[in-house]
Amino acid sequence: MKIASLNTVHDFLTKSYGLTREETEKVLETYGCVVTETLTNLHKAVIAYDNEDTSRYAHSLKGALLNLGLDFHASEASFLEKDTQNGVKENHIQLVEQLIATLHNIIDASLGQELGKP
Amino acid sequence: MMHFTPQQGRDLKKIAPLQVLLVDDDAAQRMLLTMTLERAGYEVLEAENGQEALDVCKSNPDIRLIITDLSMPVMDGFELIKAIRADQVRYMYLIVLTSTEDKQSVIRALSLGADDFLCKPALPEELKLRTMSGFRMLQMESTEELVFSMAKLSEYRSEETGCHLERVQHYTRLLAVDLSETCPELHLSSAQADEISRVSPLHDIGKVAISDAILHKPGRLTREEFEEMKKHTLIGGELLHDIYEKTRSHSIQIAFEIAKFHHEHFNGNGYPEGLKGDDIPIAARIMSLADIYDALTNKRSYKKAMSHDEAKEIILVERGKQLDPRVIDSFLRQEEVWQTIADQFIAVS
Repeated sequence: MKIASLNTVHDFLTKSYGLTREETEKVLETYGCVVTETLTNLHKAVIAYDNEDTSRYAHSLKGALLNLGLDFHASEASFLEKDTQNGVKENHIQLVEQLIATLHNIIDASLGQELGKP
Repeated sequence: MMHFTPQQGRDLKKIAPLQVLLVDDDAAQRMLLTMTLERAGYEVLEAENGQEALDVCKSNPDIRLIITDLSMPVMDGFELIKAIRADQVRYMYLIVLTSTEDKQSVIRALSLGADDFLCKPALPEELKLRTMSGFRMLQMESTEELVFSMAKLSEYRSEETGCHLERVQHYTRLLAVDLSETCPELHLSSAQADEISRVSPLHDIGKVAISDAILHKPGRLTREEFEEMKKHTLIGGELLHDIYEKTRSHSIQIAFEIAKFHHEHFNGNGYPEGLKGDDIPIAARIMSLADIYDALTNKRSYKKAMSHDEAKEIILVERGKQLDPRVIDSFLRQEEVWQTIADQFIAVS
């Protein structure tokens, strides 16, 4: 399992988008908020076995992760987006919680604050 | 003589940046794309969904290029594309944002009228290139509007019967497309066929420099007057050559060929250079027949309109003389359609 790190994302943003340090930090802060909100909504949807909302939030998460250069985790979000369309299962919940745990350290670092794990 | 007075308070040295409307419910995505586009010199406007995008377009009529996500609340990208295409006055270039494996969405968006797509992550180089490409396409459309406006100006001055340019455009398209399919030795592609038709309205642009006395003379021209009138081919050619030098536009090159050589004769007895046979650009040979047919079948100040059959008889006599036999054959293959066009675009005098 690939572990996402803030450095990975930082490097990707700097090299791929040619952002300055200040711009990268601004982008990370915004993404921190976006990903946090999306993950929260995704978790709520998946534990409610709401396949429509789960798929929708997984789609949003996929886009955000692609933009951050986190292709592996984007592919996990993509799997959730497609596989939950026919119904949420136990493995989907596990995957979401795994994603939250994995992305947790990036979000914490980008927002500069502690976030409680689900 | 008209004097142009620039509007007060307007600094003509400052050119407003091109505007791009970015539509995405993801604020972070908008931020990333905006940074890239602004760095490339564009002015970026943002909207969070399709409905907001439509509102922004209404208050900013200069927006011509939109980059939109597909999945959005309130109004998604598909509905936005549909709404824009249903109601547009000027063409909007639409680029959709999508993910690599979502081919179905791309196909759906393109079939609804999107022009291009960008896969996430939309990296700066690709985003800039696709945006530039979009504006280039829009510029071509503007060039076409300009071409037609220029041609219309010369038409008004020469007092040609109304719809002459429209008819000629249709006739040249019929000939060019047919010849591209039936005469491979002419090396005429379907893209070139389209170009010939598009720039055909410029064939008589040189007439803007011919005096009113000659241009509007009701009777036959004297020898000297005819020599003067012939200069419209050289003048039109020179004008379009100058534009070609600046733009290197292939369409303008074809327009130059048409304007300068559409009075050359297949047997070498034409003007301005006495070119013969295949030395005459095919675009000019096509224009020649279209122009002659339209002149014969429409009223002029010095003559009545002929019927289709009367015009056809004259055209057949010119086989191999004034006109290229292959172009005449193309006309004969489609003469019913020519008659329909002639009937549809009747001059209102």
